[in-house]
Amino acid sequence: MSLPTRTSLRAPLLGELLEPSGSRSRRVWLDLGSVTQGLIERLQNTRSRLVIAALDAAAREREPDCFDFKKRFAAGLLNEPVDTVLCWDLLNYMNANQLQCLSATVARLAGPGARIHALIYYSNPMMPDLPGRFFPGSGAELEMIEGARSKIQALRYSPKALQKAMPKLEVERTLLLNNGMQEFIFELRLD
Amino acid sequence: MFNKRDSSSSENQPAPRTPPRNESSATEHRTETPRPVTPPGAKDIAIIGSSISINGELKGAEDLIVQGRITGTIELKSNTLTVGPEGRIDAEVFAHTILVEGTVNGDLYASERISIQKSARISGNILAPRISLEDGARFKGSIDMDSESEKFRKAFEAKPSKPGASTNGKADESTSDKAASSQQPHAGPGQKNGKISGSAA
Repeated sequence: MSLPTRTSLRAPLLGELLEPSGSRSRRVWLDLGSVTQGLIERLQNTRSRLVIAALDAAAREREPDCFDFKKRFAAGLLNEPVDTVLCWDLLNYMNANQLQCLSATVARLAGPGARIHALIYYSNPMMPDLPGRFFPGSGAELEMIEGARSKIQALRYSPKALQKAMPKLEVERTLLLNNGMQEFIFELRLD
Repeated sequence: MFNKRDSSSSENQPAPRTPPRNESSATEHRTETPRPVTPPGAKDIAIIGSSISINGELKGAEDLIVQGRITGTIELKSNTLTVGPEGRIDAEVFAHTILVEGTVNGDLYASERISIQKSARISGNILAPRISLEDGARFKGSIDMDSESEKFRKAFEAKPSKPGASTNGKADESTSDKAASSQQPHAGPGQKNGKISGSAA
């Protein structure tokens, strides 16, 4: 069993999303992970509301309904349209049905032009068997703490596979990161 | 300056006050515990001990440390609320500054800052222009840093709150903000009667 590893990486697409746009309009962020001081600091002094789902903590605690999006995001829970969804590495731990449900949930919660950010294990065939924790720094800096448990086989979702599993979302940009993960920005499709 | 008195009082010291007694005429010398003088500039701090449970609407103009349990509403708009490690709040809170080390189920509104320590367990919405959070804290809900929002302005408007008034849903936000109706604020069971009923747990 390996100890938790802490990795510093650069996630340029995330860095761009977190940069203040210069606009003073209110933005709503849905963080599927747990809140961190780094993310709060990046959003401080902006008109931001950060909604925390903490699904990573639920997954690490092996909660059976951690990816039950219909239950976790019941109608009326979020009373404003979401502008940005931060998925971190959670998509790696969802099967096709759960991805489809997430796609439908985002389509329900998000507003026009919404962006969804995700990190996918791509190069390495193995990944930690539990979601990690992510700590944004300044710019594109991102620190990641992997789970403490053993490795499992990575699903290695390709852009095409993700597109198929999440029909409401469209791949806008991708970037290969220095740790072998692939960074994605999805856009909500307006059908 | 302290004014200490011994039980064996000297001849020059005035005799200590004794309470009237029915059964005996014997005079009893009592040692009065010197009352410390509050240094100038120091603020009063109220403490709700760990055995205390309060249900209702709590308002004040001094800092408050909660080590017990409060259900309902807390309004300390010019002061600091501290939820100690053993403290538990199931309430809606309005304060200048809020420090959380314990458990909160409810919405927190601070006009200055909210600080969440690593031992904190929070389920609810928090709204403040400045927020700090220690790694290890457990939080579920939303963090609103938009001090320009209608919700924030209304939370700290200088108007007297009526008993039960805060059980209504908050007013819609301005058209310049996103959004529709606000979420229902957390309302404790004691809120409607506007009274505080204290009881030792």
